[in-house]
Amino acid sequence: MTFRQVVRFVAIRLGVGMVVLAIVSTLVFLSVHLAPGSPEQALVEGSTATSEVIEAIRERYRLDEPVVVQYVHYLGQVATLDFGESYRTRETVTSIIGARLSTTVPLVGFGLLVTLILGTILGTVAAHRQRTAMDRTISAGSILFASAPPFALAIVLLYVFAERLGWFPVIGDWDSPFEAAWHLTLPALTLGLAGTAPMMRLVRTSMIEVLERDHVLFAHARGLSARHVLIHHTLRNSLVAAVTTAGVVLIGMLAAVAFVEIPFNLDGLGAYLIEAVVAQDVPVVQALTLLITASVLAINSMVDLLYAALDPRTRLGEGR
Amino acid sequence: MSAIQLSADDEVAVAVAPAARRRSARWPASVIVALFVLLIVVGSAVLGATLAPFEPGDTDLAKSVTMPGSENLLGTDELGRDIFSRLLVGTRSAITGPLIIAAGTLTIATALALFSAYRRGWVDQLLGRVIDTIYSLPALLVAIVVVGVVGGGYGTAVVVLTLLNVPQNYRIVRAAAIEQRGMPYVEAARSLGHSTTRILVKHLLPNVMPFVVAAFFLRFTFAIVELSSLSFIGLGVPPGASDWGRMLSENRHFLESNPWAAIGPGLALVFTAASANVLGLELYERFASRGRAR
Repeated sequence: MTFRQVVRFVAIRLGVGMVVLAIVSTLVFLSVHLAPGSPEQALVEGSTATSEVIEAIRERYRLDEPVVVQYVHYLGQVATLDFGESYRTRETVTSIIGARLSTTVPLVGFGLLVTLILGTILGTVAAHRQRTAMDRTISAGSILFASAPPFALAIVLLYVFAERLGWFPVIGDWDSPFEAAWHLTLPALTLGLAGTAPMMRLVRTSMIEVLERDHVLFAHARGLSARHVLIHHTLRNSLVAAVTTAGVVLIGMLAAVAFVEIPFNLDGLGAYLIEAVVAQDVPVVQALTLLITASVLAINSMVDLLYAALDPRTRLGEGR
Repeated sequence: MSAIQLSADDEVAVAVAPAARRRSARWPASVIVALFVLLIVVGSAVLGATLAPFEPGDTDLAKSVTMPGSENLLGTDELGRDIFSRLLVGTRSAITGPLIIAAGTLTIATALALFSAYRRGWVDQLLGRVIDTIYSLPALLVAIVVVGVVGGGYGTAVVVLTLLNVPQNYRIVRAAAIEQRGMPYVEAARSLGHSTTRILVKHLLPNVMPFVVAAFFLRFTFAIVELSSLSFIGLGVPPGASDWGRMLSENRHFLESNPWAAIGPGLALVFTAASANVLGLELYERFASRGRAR
């Protein structure tokens, strides 16, 4: 994999990414303007508004101009990362997103760590105790956690470990990273447990493969070097699968994070998206939708890049 | 000298061993439990309204938030409604939507997949590209934005989720169909002059069906999670409806006073989804290995 290939790959991905983002932002724009109810209503919701106030709002947000003009203006704003102000709080969307990133990013990172660690440990144990009760229990258990709705799991865990046992806080802020870790443990566990199943399964399968070959080789007593090379080869293959799985799990976490933040009362981006959607806070929804799309594209690209790095047979082109 | 060369015996030994072990027809304990759970769930969906001791909508503010007792098996919620009754009646909305989603997705996905797997060519390529782009986006998030912005209810959510889940199933069915396509019977049918539709329906479909069934259960699982997540955040079922997701959202605020109001529907969701998942995975593994052990 030459440097040139990498640059070419990144360039193509960025280009395609821009196109996808443009399409997505257009779709969001359209759905907002074609949906029943109008943005003005969302803004004046609750308070009585005279026609002058409504007029002022329409002017302020350029809602009185033809749709096409609004669209062009919107694209311009998006390009400069200016997402305007929230309909509800008048703070700039960008600043709120920035603040909330510091909650969600550590949470997702922590969750991924949980998945990787638990998955590896459980997978190894299951592989060594193949077909025993322990193996089946681990399998069944991981399926249980993987198929549970995140918010349901969150509430159950919250009740057992925070309310009843008091090991973790139910609510609150934190200052130090240490406190952050403590506050985020249960939420990260909730996120991470769901992804443990595919990871465990993968580790188990790869390890079984290694063990089986091990067994055959020992029977022939080929010596250390042959076994070493074989394990190396198997490890490479399973690393590829591991990277793909990690990518899928990560994207799944993006979807689930909102449903973990809400029960645990964390003010993260997921909870923010839900609030914004329910309140029809259009600028926020637009901004977050783009953020999510960009994240998914980035994750996919990184997975493909790692895939190509690990398996030299893969071309870094768009061919499949 | 250090070349790794497995002799012919090794290859056979490694290849045969797993297949032979797989031949056991015993169902694992987890699958039996899963079937049992699903039976209960379906039962309460059908009979829930009749078996419920209280009316799910009946409020009794005098009994607001009480713990489980002789009268209310799982206690009451803030408005004094019996949790157990709401749980039973709520089964219907918990599984009807997902069933429709699963059936709908699989029908569409199977039709598309069979056609493009058989035909190949530019249709397959184009469809593949479109599918791939939608595939990576998390369906639930898109559903949230769409349903939230459009402002629909249960029906809208079901339709949106059905469409968004097509890509994943399309891939599964297509893979199975392509495997079948190379088989001699397909060639035979074609040389007999059968029309494409006939080949697809009479020959490919029955052989792909096992995968479709397995995928159905898996899709059902995810649909439960997705739909209940939507009702948890208030998009989907109207307030006051006895829906498990809604109940969790409403009742989680008084966990100290009556945890069962939230834990009840919570566990119901977890076990229903997990059981469908276990069943789906078991079916999938059986069908996949059956094809290979031939």
